[in-house]
Amino acid sequence: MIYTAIKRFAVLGSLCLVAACSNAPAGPIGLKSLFFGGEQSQKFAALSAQGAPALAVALPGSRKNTNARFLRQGTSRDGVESWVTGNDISLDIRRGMIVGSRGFGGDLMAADASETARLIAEKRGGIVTRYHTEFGGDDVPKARAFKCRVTNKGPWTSKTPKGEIATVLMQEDCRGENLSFRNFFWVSPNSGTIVQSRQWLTPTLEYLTTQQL
Amino acid sequence: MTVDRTQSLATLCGATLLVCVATSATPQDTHISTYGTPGLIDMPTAEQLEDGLLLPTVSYAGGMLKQTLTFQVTPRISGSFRYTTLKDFDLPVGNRYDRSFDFSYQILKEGKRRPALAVGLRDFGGTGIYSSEYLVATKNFGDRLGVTAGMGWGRLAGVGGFNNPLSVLSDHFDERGSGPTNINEVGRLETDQWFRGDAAIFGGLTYKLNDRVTFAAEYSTDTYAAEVERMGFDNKSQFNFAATYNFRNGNSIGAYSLQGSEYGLMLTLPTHPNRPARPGAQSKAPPPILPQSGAVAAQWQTSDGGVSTGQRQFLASLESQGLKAEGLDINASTATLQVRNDTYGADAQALGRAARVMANTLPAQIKTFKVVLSKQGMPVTVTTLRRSDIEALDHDIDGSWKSFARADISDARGLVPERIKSSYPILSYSLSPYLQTSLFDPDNPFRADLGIQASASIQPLRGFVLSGTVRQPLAGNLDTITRESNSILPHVRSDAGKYAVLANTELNHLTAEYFFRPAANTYARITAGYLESMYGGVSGEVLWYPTDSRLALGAELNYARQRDFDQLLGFQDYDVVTGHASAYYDFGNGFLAQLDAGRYLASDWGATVGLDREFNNGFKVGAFFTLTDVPFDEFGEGSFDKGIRITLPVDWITGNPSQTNFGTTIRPVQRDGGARLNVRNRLFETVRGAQSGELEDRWGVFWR
Repeated sequence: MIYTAIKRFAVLGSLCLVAACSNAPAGPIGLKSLFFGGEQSQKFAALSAQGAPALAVALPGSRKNTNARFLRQGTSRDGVESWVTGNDISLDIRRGMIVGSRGFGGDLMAADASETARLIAEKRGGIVTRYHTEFGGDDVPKARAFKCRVTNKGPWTSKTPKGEIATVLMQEDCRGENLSFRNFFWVSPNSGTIVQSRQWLTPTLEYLTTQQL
Repeated sequence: MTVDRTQSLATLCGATLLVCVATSATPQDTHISTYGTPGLIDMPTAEQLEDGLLLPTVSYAGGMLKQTLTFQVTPRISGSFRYTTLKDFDLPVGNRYDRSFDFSYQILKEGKRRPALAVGLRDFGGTGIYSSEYLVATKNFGDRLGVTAGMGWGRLAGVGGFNNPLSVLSDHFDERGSGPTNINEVGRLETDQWFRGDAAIFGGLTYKLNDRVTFAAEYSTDTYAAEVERMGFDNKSQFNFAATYNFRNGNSIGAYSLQGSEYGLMLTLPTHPNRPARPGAQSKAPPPILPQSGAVAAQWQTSDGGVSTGQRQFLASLESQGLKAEGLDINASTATLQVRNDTYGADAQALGRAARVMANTLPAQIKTFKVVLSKQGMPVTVTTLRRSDIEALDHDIDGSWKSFARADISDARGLVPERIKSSYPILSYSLSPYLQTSLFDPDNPFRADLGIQASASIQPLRGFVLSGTVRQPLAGNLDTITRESNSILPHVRSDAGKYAVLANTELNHLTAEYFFRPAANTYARITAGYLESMYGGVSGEVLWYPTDSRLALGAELNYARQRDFDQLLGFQDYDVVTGHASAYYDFGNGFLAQLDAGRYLASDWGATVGLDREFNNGFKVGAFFTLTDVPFDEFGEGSFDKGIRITLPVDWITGNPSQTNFGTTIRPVQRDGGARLNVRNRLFETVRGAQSGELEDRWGVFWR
């Protein structure tokens, strides 16, 4: 009896999720089309044609092999680069640090990682503070502060699509309230630019990896 | 936009909402009783759930199925609604289907030395099968052991009873009232029973083996007297035991032994409205605010057919963000945009998107953006934003609060920017599935029809809407309802079965509506046509709602005539003039109260009191009751109208931007007293999202 009751509820529960169709501008992004699928926006095609700088981004924590190509669509007055996919998922990057994301769900609203960026560009170790603000489930932004130790882990050979590149591996270990994470940055020894990285965004998204293309 | 968003979907989920809700589970480590409330097995504890938690529970043992929805209303108050099936309890008729409400209040929180203390009522307004009251204390020792002891009355004093200690206060406590003697007495507050008669002491333990597994043991003071007598239940022991496994996602499954003779299973599916599956809707990324190229200003100079290229691009950019411009004025340094949000659940997100588009596509000399939010063509509020703030705060870690602090929100009446020619007429249509349920009929407590509905609307002018919805049931069993209404009042609602049986393709509504703003802080609506599935007529409403006010006042007057059971164009003889004066008060802490006083559909006079807890993301849980001049005996089963209601935003479930809500109202029984007309697009709900209080509550999504 209990099983029929549960089954009945479950079946009807799933009916509740049946999608409706209308001429309303819904613009939904299904989970499947999160990275692949969905048509490429005209904007993306134009950026691609212009040869805009590209970034390969992956979500290593997710079960699917999710990775996507982001193109740089511009840089704001305050030096934040905006990177976008063909289906309008975006990342904000300032001096190699991801300081915002949109369209993933559970996004990072904004971040201040300027102290980390400075140490990493100089390939120096040290203790820094990092601030993240995430979109909360209750529509109230949640602010988090982290104390982080940045360490220089020495030279590294990064395998990139452009071939093997000599880099320096910088590690950032952060602790906050009930949370800790470890970011990696592979930095070009000369220019100080970040060739590839693994960066933590929010508890929902966890880590993203980036690689210059 | 679909034609009748909230209301047409109102029936979609029905009672299955419990499981819809359970799509996103949430950790919860309070031990839950078979009654679906904090407790041991059958006995309650003094613990409370996390504030705001919704807890659907199903438990089954020995022919007794309990389905309970508990809501932690405040940190100390919880309420439950329960639907119980007792197999063959009412032989020769058959099963007993019982609805009951519980209430609990935590008097003391647990301290270092002192235990938590709670008082509660079980089944305080149902048939009284579970009618009982308790005072209980719980103390935890370390992380693992919890000890509970309490005193129970009524069913919780079935064994080991002693003279009621409350008798020292008054002799009234000696005798327990008899409770309802027939179905018409059910549903009242049986205050002559509460804490009266003998009392008894119960108690028990919980032990957490680890994060996953918990054990519980109790000495129960419930003897299952009625079940022994009527269901052949065997009461061998007063000791009950349970083992519970808690899944990582928060759901739990438990097995228990009951009174030494039965084994049972239970399932809990906790859900917290503040924790949707994917926090933050997966809306498309907003356009970044980028330095403007010199081309923008030039584009606003070149015109083509009277409209500048800049304006064309501006409107297209808004459209790509799911926003429709209804009006636009550009002065020397100020742009005023009237915009309709057809996409986002929160108007604050629409404001953020509009602000980004304005910053990117309006000429640089425009320093001030005024965004008028439009609802059904009515300008509601105007939000004034400075371009410099928008540009500066896009990546600020405190950008949400700072941008709100620097915005100015005021009444938009009279602020009507020049109409954009292409904005009217607005056509919309939708085709969607619907689910209509009929609950708690003793012949079959769960009936439902699944069908398809087509809606269309046209707005030829600002504020004027012609719309209709046609439904076609495809499958279901609503047409098997045979129970006839026994109401002695006019059958204003209780003939729902006849409507379900006699209608096939049905006209759900067909109306002309006009919305306008007669004065500052004031909104008005006139609706005529087939207003809802059972009534047609004319409805007029006025609402006074200053944008920064916690209080809103409204008045509604309707002439309604009952529609034919086939739900096509014909009418029956019954008609009525009905209307209410309403007061809405937002307590500012997530609670919204509503009082409606006036004349109901059966010509009865009275008032409805409602209280809802609203979460910022649009999730709502509430309860209401109506008392009218219809005497309890004439009302029939249930004695007066009451129920609980839940509103679940679709974007909470899917993560995709949506303005659609699943709403459901669960009444223990639908009778004819205290029944209101269901007019679409009542003003308070229509304009509320754009009022400053709501914009503030949801401003966190401005930059999303």
